[in-house]
Amino acid sequence: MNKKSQQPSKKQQKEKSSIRDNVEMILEVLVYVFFINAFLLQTFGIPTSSMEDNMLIGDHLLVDKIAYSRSLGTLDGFMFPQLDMKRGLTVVFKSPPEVKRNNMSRLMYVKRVIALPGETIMVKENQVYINSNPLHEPYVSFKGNPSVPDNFPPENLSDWWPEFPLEHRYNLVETELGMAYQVPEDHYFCMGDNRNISADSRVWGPLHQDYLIGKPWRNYWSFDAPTEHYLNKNLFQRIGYTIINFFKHTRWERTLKKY
Amino acid sequence: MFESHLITMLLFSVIVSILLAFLRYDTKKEIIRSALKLFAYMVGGVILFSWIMFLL
Repeated sequence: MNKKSQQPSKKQQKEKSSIRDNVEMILEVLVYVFFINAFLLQTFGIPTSSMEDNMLIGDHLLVDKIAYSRSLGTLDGFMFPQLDMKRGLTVVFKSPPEVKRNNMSRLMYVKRVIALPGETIMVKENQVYINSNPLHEPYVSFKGNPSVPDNFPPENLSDWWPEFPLEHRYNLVETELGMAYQVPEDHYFCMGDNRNISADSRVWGPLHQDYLIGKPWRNYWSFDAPTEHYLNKNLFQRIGYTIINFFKHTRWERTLKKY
Repeated sequence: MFESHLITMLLFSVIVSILLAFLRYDTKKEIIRSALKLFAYMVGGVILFSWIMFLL
């Protein structure tokens, strides 16, 4: 056989090299996307009204992954602008296992930190008390039919939500106002701003700090669509609806809003 | 170790910059130069942007 015919032609070599270049380029882009997503910014769309009126259904957030990141020493704190967790800050977090168990799970949630580790919390007719002091909450709203009781902790053991972890149900302490719940170490008690419908720490228990993802930074796009649109698993229907209604339903005034 | 955001990021950046430099270049000098440059861009970029997010 002719030796020349066994060797790849220049054209074949060029094609092979071009394919390799393209594959390398795609891999590089994927690596950079993963890098940014893991260490700097993550996107998150809000599908429910649990944070209304401050965050609306269809707000798409850029989540700052540095703000609440954990550090081992002073070097992290020196290089990164990390924040100490405070009451009133909004947090984006991974779905805790208690929520996953009952198939009501989404991948990520956004809520507000209401009580810090070691503090006691009590909700009486929708008024929150921290360490027996009433909490002033200008951000709260009560929209929709109430699906979460306006008292916490529940008076009877049978009234606890099944999602609330058993091991955390006994952190009750007697205060001057009555029975209050003490937030365990390394946990935060988080609640949605729309208290009537927000499934939050009252339902699935305190949030462990390992589940924190980051702090909502900016709203990069706000698209007015019902919850069903965001929970629709048919991707093509969602894309079609978004394309048709993009200009009409985009809330331009909320674009780049800071949180 | 993986509890530190900074250390995890540094580790990831080192591995990625070395691998990508190997993919792109053939000579030792080029590989080292490219890996160092890429590492600096990745780490520097995250630190810079984290402060931009904090200030804006």
